[in-house]
Amino acid sequence: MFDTNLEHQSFSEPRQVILFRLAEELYAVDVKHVQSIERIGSITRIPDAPPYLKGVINLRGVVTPVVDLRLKLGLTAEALHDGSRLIIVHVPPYNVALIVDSADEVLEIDADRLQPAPDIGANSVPYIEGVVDIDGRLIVLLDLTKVLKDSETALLEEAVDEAHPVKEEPSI
Amino acid sequence: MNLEDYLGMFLEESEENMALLNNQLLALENNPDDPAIIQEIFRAAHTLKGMAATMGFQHMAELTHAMENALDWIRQGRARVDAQWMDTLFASMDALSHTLQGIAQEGQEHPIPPDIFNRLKQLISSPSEPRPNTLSSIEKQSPPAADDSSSSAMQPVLLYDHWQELYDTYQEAIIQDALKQGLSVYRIEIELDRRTLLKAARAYIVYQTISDMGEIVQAQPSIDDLEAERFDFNFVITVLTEKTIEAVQTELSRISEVAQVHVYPLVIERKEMIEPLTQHSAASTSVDFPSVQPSDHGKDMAKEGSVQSVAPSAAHRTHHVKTLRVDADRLETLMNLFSELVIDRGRLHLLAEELAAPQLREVVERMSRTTSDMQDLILSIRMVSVETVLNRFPRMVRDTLRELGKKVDFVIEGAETELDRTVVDELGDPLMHLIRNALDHGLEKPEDRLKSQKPETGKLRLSAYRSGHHVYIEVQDDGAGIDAEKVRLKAIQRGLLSEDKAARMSDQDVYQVLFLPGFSTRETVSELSGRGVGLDVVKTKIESLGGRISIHSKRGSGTLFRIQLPLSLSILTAMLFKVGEETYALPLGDILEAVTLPVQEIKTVGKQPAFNLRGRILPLVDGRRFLGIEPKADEASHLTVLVLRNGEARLGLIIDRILSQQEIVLKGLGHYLKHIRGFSGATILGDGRVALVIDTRSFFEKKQGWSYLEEVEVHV
Repeated sequence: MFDTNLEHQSFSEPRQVILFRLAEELYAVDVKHVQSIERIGSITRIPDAPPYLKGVINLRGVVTPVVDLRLKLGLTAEALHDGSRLIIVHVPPYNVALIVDSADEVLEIDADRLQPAPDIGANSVPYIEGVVDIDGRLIVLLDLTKVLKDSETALLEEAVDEAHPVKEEPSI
Repeated sequence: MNLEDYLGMFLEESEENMALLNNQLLALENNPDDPAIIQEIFRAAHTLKGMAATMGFQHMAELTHAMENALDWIRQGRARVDAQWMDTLFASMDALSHTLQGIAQEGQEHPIPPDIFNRLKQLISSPSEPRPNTLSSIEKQSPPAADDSSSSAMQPVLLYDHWQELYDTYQEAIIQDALKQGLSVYRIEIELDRRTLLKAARAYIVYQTISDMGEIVQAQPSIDDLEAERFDFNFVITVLTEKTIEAVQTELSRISEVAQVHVYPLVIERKEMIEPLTQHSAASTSVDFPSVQPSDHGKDMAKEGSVQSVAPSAAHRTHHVKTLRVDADRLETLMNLFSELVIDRGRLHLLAEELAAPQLREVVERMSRTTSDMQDLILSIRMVSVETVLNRFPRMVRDTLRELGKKVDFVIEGAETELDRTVVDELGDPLMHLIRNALDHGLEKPEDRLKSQKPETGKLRLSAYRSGHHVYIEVQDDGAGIDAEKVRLKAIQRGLLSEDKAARMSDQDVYQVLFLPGFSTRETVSELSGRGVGLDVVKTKIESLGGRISIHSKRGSGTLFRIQLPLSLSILTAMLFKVGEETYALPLGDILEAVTLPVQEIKTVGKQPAFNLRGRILPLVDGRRFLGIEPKADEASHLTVLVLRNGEARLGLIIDRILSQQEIVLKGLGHYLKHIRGFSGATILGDGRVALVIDTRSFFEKKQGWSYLEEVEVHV
C-alpha cells in the first residue's frame, strides 16, 4: 500500500479544487484551503495599502483582509459586479478573502495531468502550481501559499519588523 | 492515547499545584502545627505525583513521592516542622520547578540531584520524641542534622542502617575498616552560593580541601561530573579523616561561595544498639526570619503555635470553585459570533420601530435584555482573578528577603480582583520588577530603619482593586522613599534634564524621570534589580496593555507605584468620526478636546500649518490628506479639529465631523495585515461595517516629508 518511491507519491491522489473565474480565464485552488464563498459586502479601505489589498470586511465578526486576486496576479483590474464573489481562504496563519469574478464548481484534478505553467503573464508565474486541460478547458491551479506569502509581502514584513518589532496579537 | 496532547494541560495544572504548594509551605512556616495546611500540602503533592506518573515523568514522580513520604510523617505527628524541614521542602520545590522547566522547554525532565532525596530521607529518620515501641521496621532512628544556627544540639550521626544504602559494597568495606581503625568518616554535604559563577572551579577547590584532610571515598556527583559542572549547587563528599568535625566544618566554611556545609559522621552502630538520640533542634525560626503573609484567607488562621481544628480552616482554605478549562480560541469565536448577534439585535430594534409593530417591539425588547446579560457574561468569561499572577510573589519575596537580610511584612490584598486574561498573563514581569525594586532599593536594612525611628520590620503591600472601568494595582512600601535631589542630579548628569528645568520641576514631576530609559540611581549594579533597567521597561509594558503607571513618594516615608489598567483589553472608549465618507475611530483617552477652528485662524509656521490653542501653537494635520482622501470640494468657513496628545506632544487633527463617543470592541487585523502600520485594529460598527481604529502615534511621526514642529512657547 505504501509507495516507497517518494517522487510518485504526491501524484497518486487526485486533488479536489474549486474553480473560479478571473476575467475569462479559469483558475482553481485546492479545496482544503477554502473556508467559504461569500457575496461581497462593503469593504473598508486601508489607507496606504498596496493596490491589491482592497481593505477589510466583517466576516461573521472577524475582520478579514480582502485581496483583489486579479491585481495580485498581475492581470488588469476591473470593477466589482453582481457576480463577483469572495473566496475565503485559510492558509495558516493567514485568513484572507479573495475577490473573484465568479466561483463555479468543485472539480477533481488528476495530479498526474498537471503541467508546468506556460507564460500567461510575467507576474503570475511564481504563483502557479500548474495547468491542466479538462474537457477542453484550460485550468490554472494556483499555489495559494505563494500567493499569500510572496516575496513582496515577505520583504515588506521583514523591513517593518526590523524597524518596528510588532507585537503578536492574541488571536485572529 | 497520545500523551503529548495533554502536555499543555499537564504543565498548566502542575504549575498551579506548585504555586499552591509554595504558598501553603509559606503558610506552614508560620503555622507549623496547622493540620489543615499540612493536609493541603499533602494533597497537592499527591496530585502532582499522580499527574507526573501518568505522563511518564519518572523523576518528578519520584521526587513528589519522596516529599509525600516526608509529609506523611508530619501528618501522622511523627515529626515536627522546623527550619530544616522548611528548607528541605522548599529546596524540593525548587528541584521540582527546575524539572518542570525542562519538560516545558525541552519536553524532557531535567535530572534531579540525588541530594534532595537524601535530605528528604533524613527528615524522616527520627521521631521528635522517643517512641521505640511504635517504630515501624523501616523507620530509622538517627536524628535530623542540626540547623546551622542552633549550636546547642548534640552532634548528629548517621547510623549504619542509614548510611549503608548510600554506598556500594566496596565503599562500605572501606568505611567499616576505617571506623574499626578509629578513623572518622564524614559525609559532607556542600551547598554552593547560588551566585557562584564558576561552579566547577569552586567545587574543585572544595574537593581539594577535603582531599587534603584525608581520603575521599565517594563524591556525589562524581568528580568528573563536578569538573564538567554537571550539578546544581549541591554535592556530597565522603571522606576518611582524623580531623574533628569542627575542624572540617570550619575549614570548609571558610571557602568563599560556599553557602552551607553539613558534616555527618558515619558510625558503625545500628539502631537497635543505641538509645535514640532525642535531641531535636527546636523549631527555631532564626531571628532574621521575615514573616510573610501570603493572603487574606490565611490572616484569621495565623495564630502562633496553636493547633487549629480541621473543620473551619479547611472550609476556608479549600474554596473549591468548579472550573472548566476552555480553549481560548473557541472563546474568541464565541465572542465574535456574539457581537454579530448584538448588531443584528440593533437592526431588529430599528425595524421594529419602523414597522411600528408592537408585538415585534416586545419580542425585541425581551431579546435585548437577554442579549445584554449574555454580553456581560461572555465578557466576564475572559476575566480571571489576579490571584494567579500575585501568587508567585510570596515565595520570591521570602527568598529575596533572606538574601538581603531585611525584615519585611509582605501583604497581598484584593487577589480576587478580576482582569482580562491576557492582561493578567502580562502583569507578572512588571510587578516582579517593582517588587524587587522595593525590596532592594526602597526598604532599608533593619539597622537603618531603627536609626530612622522606624519599626525594624518594613511593610510591603501589593494590592489590587477595581474602580469604575479600571483595575488598579499598587505596590507600596514604607521604605526610604525616593530622593528627588539625587534623581535631579543624576538626570542632569545623564543629560536627561537641563539644570534649569530640573530646578523648576516639582518633586512629583522629577519622579517621572525614573521612567526614562537608561536611568539608574544605584551606584553599584545590584544583583537583584540589575542596572536599573527596570522602570522604563515596566512603563512600556503597562502602556502596551493600555494602562498607565504613576509614582508617588515621600522621602523617609515610602513609595507607591500605582498601575491603572483597562477592565477589558478589547473594549475601548473611542470617538467615532468621519473623514470624507469614511468612518474612523480614535481612543478617547488620546483626545484632549474638539475645537471649531475658523479657517482664517490657520497660521503657517515655515511650511507647516498650525493654530493657536490658548497661547500654545500646535501643528495642524489634515485628516483627508493624511489618509489619502480627496480634499473637500467646497470651502468651509470652520474646521472641526480634534486636539490629540501623545505623551507631552500635542497636535490638531482636521476631520469632517464627529459621529459619536462610545465603547467599542477592538478587533485585531490579523496576521496577513501584520505589517500595516498606523492602525491599532478595527471595530465593527452598528451597521455591520468595519471602521479602522487609528494608532494616535502615527500622526505624531514624520510622514511623507512633513516635519512637525517642536512646540513653541508663544505669549499671547
